[in-house]
Amino acid sequence: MNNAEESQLKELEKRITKARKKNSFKIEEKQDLGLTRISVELVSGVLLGAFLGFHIDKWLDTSPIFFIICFFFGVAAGILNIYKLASKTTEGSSVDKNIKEKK
Amino acid sequence: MSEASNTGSHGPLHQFEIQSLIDLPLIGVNKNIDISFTNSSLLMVVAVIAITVFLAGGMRRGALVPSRWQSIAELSYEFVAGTLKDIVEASGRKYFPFVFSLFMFILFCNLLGMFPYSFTVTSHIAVTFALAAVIFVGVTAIGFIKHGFRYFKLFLPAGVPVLLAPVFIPIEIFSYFTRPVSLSIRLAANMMAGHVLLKVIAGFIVAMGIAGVLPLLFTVILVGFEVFVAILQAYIFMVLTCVYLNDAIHLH
Repeated sequence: MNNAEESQLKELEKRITKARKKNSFKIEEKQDLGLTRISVELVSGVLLGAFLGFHIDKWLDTSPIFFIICFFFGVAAGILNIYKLASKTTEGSSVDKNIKEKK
Repeated sequence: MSEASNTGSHGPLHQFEIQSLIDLPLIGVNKNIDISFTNSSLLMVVAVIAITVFLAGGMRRGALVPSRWQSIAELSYEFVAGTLKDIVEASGRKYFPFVFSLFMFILFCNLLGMFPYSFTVTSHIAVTFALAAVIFVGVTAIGFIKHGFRYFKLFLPAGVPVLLAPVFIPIEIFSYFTRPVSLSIRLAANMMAGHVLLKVIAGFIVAMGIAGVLPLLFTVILVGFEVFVAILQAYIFMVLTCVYLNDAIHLH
């Protein structure tokens, strides 16, 4: 009786861990839906650079020096973000794994 | 409402118009800050009330064997807790209340926007950027409190030659500052694009007569897809918040 209960409990535990694994896998899969993320990343880099440069110029009255500098830094930052994103998704296939590797 | 119909109330962008429901006097030094209660504010209040009812009502009994409602409430809790634990691990536990309320607020705003005649709060950059700015400032503060000046190491990745540092540091700083921008644009653009597309396709139904069955079918599919996008975008927003938190807590 007791033995049977124990084995039943073990069976249940197995099923629970299995279900948990399935769940976490689903989450990881969804994270790789990154095509729109890449485009947004590039756009936001350019936008930020242009916005910052434009306002620094307006503030210091140095148009268009800072606009040009910040614009190119913004583009570079956008590309860097995409590079980071791409290397994250291809190397470890999951954010979780990648974080553990870095430590 | 009659005012709205004069300015083309059936345009695809009309749904994003801010309308004042209760006019309040302007405040501020120059009397230029409008704090009127708008349809946007109304939907935010509805979202907060809906979340409270959903969670408090679900957990009212607190039964060991949960009812359907309670298990949905528990599921949302465990989903966020699991994601936070996966990304930030144990040290992220004290930020759970913030991450959870953030996720639920965005999720409910996105989903409430799917109702006909309602308003999508998260389609406005003003709202999403405010959320993203709070996260950005908070995460930066946490980083500096935890690591002090060592937090600046984030701007110079290991293995970069000293010669390249003057180029690399500004780029890294810019990359750091694009976080709130990309976070807010992603959410707002996704919600706005979906709703505009939905409205445009729906506009074809009447215009095409009998053949309007095709866009009608497409609209049905799109509504389902939009619900998926609403949930996915709330999830992505939360995941990125967790990733930023992790970067600030575990400096590498």
